[in-house]
Amino acid sequence: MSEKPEDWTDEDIIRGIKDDRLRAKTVHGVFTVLKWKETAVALLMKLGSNSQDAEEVAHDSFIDFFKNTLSGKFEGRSQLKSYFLGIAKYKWYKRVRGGRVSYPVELTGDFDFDPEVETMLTNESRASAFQEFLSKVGGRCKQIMLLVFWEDKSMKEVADLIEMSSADMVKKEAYRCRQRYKDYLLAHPIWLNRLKEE
Amino acid sequence: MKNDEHTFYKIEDYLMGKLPPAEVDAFEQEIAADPELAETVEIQRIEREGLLYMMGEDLRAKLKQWETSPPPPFGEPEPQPSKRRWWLGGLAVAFIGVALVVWQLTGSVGPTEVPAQPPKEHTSPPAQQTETPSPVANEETTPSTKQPQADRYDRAQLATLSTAEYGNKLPSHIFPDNVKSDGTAAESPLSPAVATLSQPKPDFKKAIGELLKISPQAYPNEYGKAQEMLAHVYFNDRQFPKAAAIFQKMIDKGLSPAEKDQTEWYLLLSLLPDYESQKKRVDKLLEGMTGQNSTHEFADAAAEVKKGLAKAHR
Repeated sequence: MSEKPEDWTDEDIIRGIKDDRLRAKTVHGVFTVLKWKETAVALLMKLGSNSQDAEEVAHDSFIDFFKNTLSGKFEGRSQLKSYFLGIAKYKWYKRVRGGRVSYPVELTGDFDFDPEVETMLTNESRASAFQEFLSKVGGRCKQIMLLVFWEDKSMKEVADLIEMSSADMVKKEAYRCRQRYKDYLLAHPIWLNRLKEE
Repeated sequence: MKNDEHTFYKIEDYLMGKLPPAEVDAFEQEIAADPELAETVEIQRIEREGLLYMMGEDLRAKLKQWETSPPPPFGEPEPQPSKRRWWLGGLAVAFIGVALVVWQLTGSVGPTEVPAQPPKEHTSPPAQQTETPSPVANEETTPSTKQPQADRYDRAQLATLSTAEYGNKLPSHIFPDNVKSDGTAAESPLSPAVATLSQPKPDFKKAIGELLKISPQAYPNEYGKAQEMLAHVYFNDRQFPKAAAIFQKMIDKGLSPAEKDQTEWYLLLSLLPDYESQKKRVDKLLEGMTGQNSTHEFADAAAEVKKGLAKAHR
């Protein structure tokens, strides 16, 4: 993968996001160098958004774009950037339709969404359920998981940061933490049912 | 639930779309034919989605940070703060996340706590246990009579609280990775107990008998795992003091941070029904779990136990 984000293809970006060691670097490059957010903000303002709403929607859309790409939900039916802009447009449409803008907006233009965009977004009630579920498990595992799966650091670097003796210990600890979340779900079927996709 | 490490990583590859197409087909057929595997995949899918959600929330914080303080040119490393400061920052972000949840759920933010210390690792596994009599087991035979009569708790209510917090299944992590749930696939002294405990209605007494056969002299490699399983089986058989004695010994031997948090939680639940005689130990555990700056994995659940204790007071 090139050091220059300008040279990245869609495949490079997808591969980078799916790779534990390249994930943060790839997202950083797409956001700060390729400036996708700025493109989304310009699009949304053209659709009648003020700058504040456009910024918020663009951030939310970037996060959904990231999660869907990482989870493999994005199936490559469009170009990656078009997919991201599709999410932003859809979120804007939902915000206006839901009466969540305090100024008049006329929805003009094409709002015929690709079903891939519509079905892939986590609905708000599930998002809030996930937020609550994650708060049930303590901070230590959360930190280990973020370090291992999100920061582009090797297991050895993580081991140094959290003062563990070896990369193997970190791997074992991360595995145990993930089992801990699974055990919590098993022990509390009410959470399992809330978090299942409708 | 199928819980061996091999299955975990295979499911992970499957969910991440990393399995070759031929293996995907075969694995999907396996899932369709095996309800236990199907349940495991479903739970891991949800757990994985939680992980994605966690990363998404961290990304949200990063996006704001990248905008307010521009990062270094792409490709150059970001300045690294000292280990301790970095860790503190991470924990602070985690805390803010939790505080936001509390605020969203209750409309108010509790006292602000910024965890201060990184976890210290203890590398020795919970393997070799000593055979010295446990203080808790002794307490069972000589219950304290020195508690003031005014400070009484409903034992049945506490036992109910304890088992409810434990959940309705044995935790999956207690099963050894190399023994299948039918207990027959691998030659291991743990196999008979695993097979017994994998039944829809496990015979805990039988499992206890099987696990007690595993001595440190005959099976030095399996003894630690056997003891961990035994503690959980005792708990499920409502022999709480015996469970507590083993959990305490595991902690005393030294565990990694996540293991220690987990074992302390089970120790707390095992001591809870005998709160009147174990008040000091329970209160100390609760204080450690829920106190200021706690990053304990079970802080939230421990807070629930505190509430339950107040209710059981009579």
